[in-house]
Amino acid sequence: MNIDEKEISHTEEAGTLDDSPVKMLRTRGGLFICVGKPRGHAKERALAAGSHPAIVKYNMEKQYPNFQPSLMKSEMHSDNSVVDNHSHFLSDELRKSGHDLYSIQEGFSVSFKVTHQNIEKYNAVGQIVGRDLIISKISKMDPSLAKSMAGAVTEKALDMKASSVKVEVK
Amino acid sequence: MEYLESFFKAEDPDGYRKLAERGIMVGFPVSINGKTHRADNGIGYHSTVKFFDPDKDTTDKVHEIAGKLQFTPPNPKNTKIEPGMFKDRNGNDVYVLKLHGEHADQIKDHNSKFSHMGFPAAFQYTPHVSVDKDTWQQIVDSKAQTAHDAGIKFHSAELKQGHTTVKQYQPPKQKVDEDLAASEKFTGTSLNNQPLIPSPGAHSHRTLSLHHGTKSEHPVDSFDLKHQRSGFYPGVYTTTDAQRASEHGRPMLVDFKGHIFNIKSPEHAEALHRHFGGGGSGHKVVEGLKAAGYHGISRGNEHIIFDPKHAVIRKSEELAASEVPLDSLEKGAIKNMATAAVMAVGLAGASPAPAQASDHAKNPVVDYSSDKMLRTISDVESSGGKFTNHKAINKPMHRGEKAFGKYGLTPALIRDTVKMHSDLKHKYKKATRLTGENMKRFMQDNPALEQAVAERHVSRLEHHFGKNPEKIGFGWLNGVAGTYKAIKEKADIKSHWHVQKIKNAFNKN
Repeated sequence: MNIDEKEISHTEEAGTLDDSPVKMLRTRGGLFICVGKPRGHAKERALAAGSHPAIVKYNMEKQYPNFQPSLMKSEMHSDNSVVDNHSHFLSDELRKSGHDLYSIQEGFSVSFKVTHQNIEKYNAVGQIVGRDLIISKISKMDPSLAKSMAGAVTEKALDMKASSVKVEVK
Repeated sequence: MEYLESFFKAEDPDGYRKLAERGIMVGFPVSINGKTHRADNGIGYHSTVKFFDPDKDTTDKVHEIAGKLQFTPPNPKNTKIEPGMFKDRNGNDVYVLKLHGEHADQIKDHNSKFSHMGFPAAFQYTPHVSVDKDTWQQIVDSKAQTAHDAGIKFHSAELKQGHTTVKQYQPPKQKVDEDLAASEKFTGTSLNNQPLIPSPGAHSHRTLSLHHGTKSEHPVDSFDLKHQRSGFYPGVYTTTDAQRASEHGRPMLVDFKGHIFNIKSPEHAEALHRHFGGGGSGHKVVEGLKAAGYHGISRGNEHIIFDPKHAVIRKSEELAASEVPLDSLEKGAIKNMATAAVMAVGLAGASPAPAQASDHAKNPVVDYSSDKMLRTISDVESSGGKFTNHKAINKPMHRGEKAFGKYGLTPALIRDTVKMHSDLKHKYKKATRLTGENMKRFMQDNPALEQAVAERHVSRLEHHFGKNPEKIGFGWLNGVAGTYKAIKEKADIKSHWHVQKIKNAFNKN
């Protein structure tokens, strides 16, 4: 992947991999990319990409066990985000075509993102209020995706020990 | 709602104060350079173990659990600090000192014991001390690495409701040793006028059966200190408490014979540390005790064995030979089979085993290994992974679900095996709830789990039936209870169609 410098809006240190620094780039288009030099590579390369820095960090930690994240300072830090992968709720066809389903929890807010080739396509947003997970915003999506989203929301609600899930889309 | 909103206005000191006045909390009071309270809102410094919901939790319910836990105030010298910041939902900065080290890990462990209480999980819990901004900045500027460097002291844990201390939790040894500590005097190489490091002798020699919980997903034959994940002292960590070991991972029995140095109190540990030196770890203490002729140390029910060669892992046929199969164990009365085996050993006094269990101990199968058994199962279930499109199982317990992968693991078996092992449950908790195609896809996304479940289940069958391919083969299809039933009814297991396939494949492997 070749990234033109003009496309990069922000760069920040993300951590180290095999004692080599890893940077998190944000492109003007809103994509986040981790770049670095893993062992055995002389040149920097894109290691992980995603629509949210927390997702990129999550995938970095999964793909590269030697990745050591650093405490990041700016809004890209997402240090307190809790990312979870719910792609097992997507159909085989969607998975084969490069779709994933994540949840990102930041405090009492939770967002669910369906990505295609790391670009966000659909989302749902909710909040924990009392013991309820309330979904307040959902993208329009076809029924099979909606079913996958429902699975992810339920799974996340169980992890958060919510006692019910409510949909209050205006 | 208002109450919850104010929970996050932690850098809204007034809001935080109102919250603290209502809330129920278990935590360690903290002082920083002699100051016990924040200057901005008057709230006492503390390291919270858990904050509860006063609308549904009561101090009695909290104490029911807290009263059974050991609350050791973190040792400031061994607790590293990391200044950090959280953002609350309104964008306010919350200044914290994150805690790292053995005692911080204990705090995290205790927090998990209350996971069913309190508010829904809004953050990933990290042991920390919240401070006002000025104090935070002073500590950052001082570049303090440990709590001790930052002038932080931790005091005995408390259960508080608002400003009222409902209970105080002394560390167990401290209750007995408070007076002793007051009189214990370390003077160079002596403690209470006795040598600090007495020579090993009959008083220190032990022959012990200890418990260890491993996070390794593969069979473990011996220990390697390179895999030690944490711990102040380098060594193999074991305990006489089987339940405690199983909380750390897959339980194993370890035999030890050698000289144990007993650390009687935190003051005693401090005296050793001063004698041997060593900064932020116990390496020099261990080297010094080894040179003196000791093979390990004990702290309460914890035993740390210095050299892996002195920590001999007990093999599964030795466990199985001493176990009495009890139906109640299968029904989940006891969490894991190793605990059951240990209880059986305790009841039987390690005396000769019942005839049924001893058959396979007397007649071990030549050339058996767990890996070979797994390859055999894979050959029978899927021709070594070639045919993994299994049919739906119409038995009531399987509800039409299909087996998965090269070992033909049923979703029911996957769910049960993950539930039975705390390390698997910690990593793959989702698997305990998934069914059908969702389970299949989860297994595809987590290939290590398939192998882990297969190995643990073979290990479980070996534990019950010994290294006997026929019984293991029968058990793979009919379950542990089904196999015991067949044995009890004197069924001809050897002639069973599945057992025949297993035997043939085993001989070819």
